[in-house]
Amino acid sequence: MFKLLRADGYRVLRYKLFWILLCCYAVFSLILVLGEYVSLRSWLAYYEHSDMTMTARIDAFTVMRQGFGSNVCLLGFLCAILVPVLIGKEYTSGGMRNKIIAGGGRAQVYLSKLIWSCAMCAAVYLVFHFINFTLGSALMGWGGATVGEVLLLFVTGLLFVLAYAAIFTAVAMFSRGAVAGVVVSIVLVIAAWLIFASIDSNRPYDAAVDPETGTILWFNVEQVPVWLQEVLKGLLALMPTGQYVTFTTSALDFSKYAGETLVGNLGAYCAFSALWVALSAVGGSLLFRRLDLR
Amino acid sequence: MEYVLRTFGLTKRYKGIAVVDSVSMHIRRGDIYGFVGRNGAGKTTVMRLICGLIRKSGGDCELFGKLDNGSAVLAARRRTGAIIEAPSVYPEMTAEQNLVEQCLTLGVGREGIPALLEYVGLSGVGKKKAKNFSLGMRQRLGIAMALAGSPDFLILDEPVNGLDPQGIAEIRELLLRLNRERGITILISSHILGELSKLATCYGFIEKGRLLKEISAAELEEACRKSVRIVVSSTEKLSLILERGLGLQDFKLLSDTEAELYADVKIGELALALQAGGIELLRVQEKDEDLEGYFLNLVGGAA
Repeated sequence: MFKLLRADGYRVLRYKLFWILLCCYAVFSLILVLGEYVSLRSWLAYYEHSDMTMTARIDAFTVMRQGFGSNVCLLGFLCAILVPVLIGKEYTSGGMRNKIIAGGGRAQVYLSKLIWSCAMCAAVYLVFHFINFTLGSALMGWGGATVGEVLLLFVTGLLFVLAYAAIFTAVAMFSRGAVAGVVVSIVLVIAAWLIFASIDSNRPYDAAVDPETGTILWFNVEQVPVWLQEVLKGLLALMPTGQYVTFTTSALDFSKYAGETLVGNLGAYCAFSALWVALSAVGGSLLFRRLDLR
Repeated sequence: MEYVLRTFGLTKRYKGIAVVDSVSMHIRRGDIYGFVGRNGAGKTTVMRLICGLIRKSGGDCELFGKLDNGSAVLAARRRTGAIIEAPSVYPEMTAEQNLVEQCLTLGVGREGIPALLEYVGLSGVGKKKAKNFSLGMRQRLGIAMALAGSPDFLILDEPVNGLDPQGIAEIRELLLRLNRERGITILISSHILGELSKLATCYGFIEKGRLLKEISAAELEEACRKSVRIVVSSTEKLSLILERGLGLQDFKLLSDTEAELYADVKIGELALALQAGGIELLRVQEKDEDLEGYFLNLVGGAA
């Protein structure tokens, strides 16, 4: 296992696309943080010359939450590209075959890929937080957010990213090609985003609760039956993108209508994400043992 | 007698069709085993089964005495190097980087890489990426990757495909050197029979997934010897006539009515001598086969 990890690590360190996307995400994060700082300065200047008190919250913690919200799809897309391209190239070059021939056990080969996929995706995630934790906190402070709040959000987001890496590892290992893997992975990300976009644009403001069941309604019941709405909620809760989007302002505001969180608390999200990783590690490696490599 | 590889009724089915059908092959240590068969005969599939790339439908495979049913075969596979269908090289890496990656996978040191590159004739490639290699260079790199772990057994699936005559000769010399100098056992498949005949010490002939025959190079040479096969009314007095009448010593009685003569013989003289001895000459057939002819006859008989 250690040999496979070293060999895969050697490739990952020479994986140009990873470093390019890492740098791009770092630049994006920098722009996001600086953009928030400029916004903060503008609002402060505005409120300085008015009688009103500034209620909007703009600090490093807000930026951290936005890191889960506004660029949720971007992070998903980056993972959807990074992982399948790395693993797909291993298939097309014959490297996967090599590792099996060299006596690498099937489960070990799969787990090594999973570990490095998680490491790559986590690195992309961490680069954002590194910039926010250093530059963001220096410029804007944390606005009174507690260490526990920050840590919980950080860990939840990290597990989300690891769940993505786990899902895309499975997709890539079984699709056996870079293109197929990227396409399937991106479709999964888009599907989750589209579900939420539909929900967001169809929210019934004036009939937010089903009178019969007391359930929060996302759509008008004439258009989408309650049972289907529950299914969509469940899908959204299970998928990493869905978990991310529930951190956005609109979703949290929405949940305020009935005082009910959308699908549970952050602890539940952590559990879902951990489940994906476990499923990929155990189920994926078991299935990979049965795969014919041609 | 130590076997590097033995298969026992190895079978692979796809959608109920046996593409490898009860193959039982035997490869001794130090052999160069020529695996001969037409396109689609099942050569590559057998090699994939041996390497663990695909799951078998039936039978067993024993590699260095370890059956493929348990985890012990993984250690046996580490003593094996292989090129299946095409060399497995990362196109974005240089030759050296590819070998480093392979050494890391195998858990062996990197200090032997420069010598290995020189051994396969790739010492001057420098920083050139593998995607810019010619086919011959890629084949050499593939062989170098297969040799990285100092294997005892090499499995090569049509390693000279697409190479020019010089490339073919160089690969052939390299393989002979590996077998001679390092005692590496080699399983090599090809449908270029002329090349195989310059390499192999034994052969396995496969057709439609079935192993038709295993034969040593010496036995094959004996079978392909130039000869005249005669069918006569009776071979009872034939030996006497051939030895005393025609002075022939090199012949073999095959049955009550058939014999094979290996020496040069004039058919006219033979017919007269047989007639004088009261034997009727019914049929004469000249045979001068090479490996290709032997294989075609074998396959034609199987079909």
